[in-house]
Amino acid sequence: MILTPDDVIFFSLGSLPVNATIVYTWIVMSLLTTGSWLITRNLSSTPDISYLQNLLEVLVTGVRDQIEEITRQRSDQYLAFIGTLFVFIITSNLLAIVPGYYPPTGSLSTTAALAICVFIAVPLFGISNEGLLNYLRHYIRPSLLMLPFNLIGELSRVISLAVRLYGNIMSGTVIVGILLSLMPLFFPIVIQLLGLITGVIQAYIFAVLAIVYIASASSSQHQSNPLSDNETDQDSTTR
Amino acid sequence: MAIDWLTVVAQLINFLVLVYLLKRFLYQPVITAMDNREQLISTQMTQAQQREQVAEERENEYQTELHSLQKQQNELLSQARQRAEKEAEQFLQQARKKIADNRQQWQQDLKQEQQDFLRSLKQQGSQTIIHIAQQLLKDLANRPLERQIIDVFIQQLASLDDKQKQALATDKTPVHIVTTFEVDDELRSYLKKSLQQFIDSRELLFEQSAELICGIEIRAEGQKISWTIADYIHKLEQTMEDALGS
Repeated sequence: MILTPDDVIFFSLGSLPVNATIVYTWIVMSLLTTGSWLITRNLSSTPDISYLQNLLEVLVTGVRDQIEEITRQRSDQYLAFIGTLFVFIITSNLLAIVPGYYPPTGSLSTTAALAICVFIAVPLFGISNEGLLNYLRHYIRPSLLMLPFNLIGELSRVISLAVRLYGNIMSGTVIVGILLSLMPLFFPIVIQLLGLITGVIQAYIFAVLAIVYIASASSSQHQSNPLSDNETDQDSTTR
Repeated sequence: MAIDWLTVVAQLINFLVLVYLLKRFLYQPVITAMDNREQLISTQMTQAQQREQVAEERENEYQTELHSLQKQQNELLSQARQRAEKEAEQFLQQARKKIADNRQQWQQDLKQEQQDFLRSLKQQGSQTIIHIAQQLLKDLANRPLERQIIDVFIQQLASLDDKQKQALATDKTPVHIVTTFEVDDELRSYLKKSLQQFIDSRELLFEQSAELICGIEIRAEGQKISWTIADYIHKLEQTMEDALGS
């Protein structure tokens, strides 16, 4: 039984082995990129739009709304990062329905890489929003004594992110694998369905947690609350 | 549960590449399209609001114009009605006047006709009466009547005043005796004898004329003395006219 697609080596680029995780990631990437390119080639700015453009707009608007709801800030700077996290994870997980496909998110290496991205993104966004000193002050709040706990908290967040996603997706795949050997008919399908739901939920959880971490690192922004001002402006113009 | 760090690095790079690619091919175009649409809708909304405003202004203008037109129409109608009433009144007055004129004319005509009829009746009546009287007197003018007429005439001569008698007696010119009846020798001698006392020995010239109707007349130089029934008939005619005229 394959516990992680890292173990499946497809081919080697020189001395670098290319395993199933990377190959499936590339497949997911090419699917997303090609699909996006095909749809966004002929975007319409009029109210008369295609179904696929509508789908993309619903996706983008949904992600923006979620980000703005959680951060109470404009979503522009976070959209690409958070949106890509969500889209990549959900696509990886949903493709699990395809026979022979193994989700890259079922590899701890992938989830760790994503968690590391979040781990790096949090201070980057925090510093860009508040400045270095203000950001660093977060770690000694409410007192200097809290510094080690804060550091541990940061690290544990990364680990929990990585392991939660990995565990959920891997377990789904493993359970289906086990059930297939024990009870080959019907029941694995139900479990696979559950796995799809789990995959969607996990993608949502991962993305939302990433926003929450980033927002908490930029907490001083809450006081000025530029989004609410903008929203008020927008509302007044819309009316 | 092992982490392949090489894969981790590869996945890190893959993810960052994917972030770039999706930003390039997904988020930016979609957001641009949405912003453009929002802009378009906003522009259309503004234009629609402007058009609505213009339309409202137009509507107000048209309403005002409509009101003024209605007012004008009412005024014109009222004027027309007044004019029509005035004209109708005029026509009515003209008609009344015409009827009155016609009536007056008719009455005048009627009166004229009546008068003409009366006149004609009067003339015809008088003429008929005269004619009858003439006829009657003609039929009755026999000798004893003629002699009687002469007697009456002689009596009339006798009643003349002295001056007239004197004028009649002194003149020497012949005396014309006009009668309606034929005067035979007997009557001539009777007339001569009767007139002797008035005209002395003046010459007598006898004439016969129907104009006198029934009577006798003597015409001397500057004098004319007569007795005829025509006088009575004139009086009768006068009486008839008076009776019909009233």
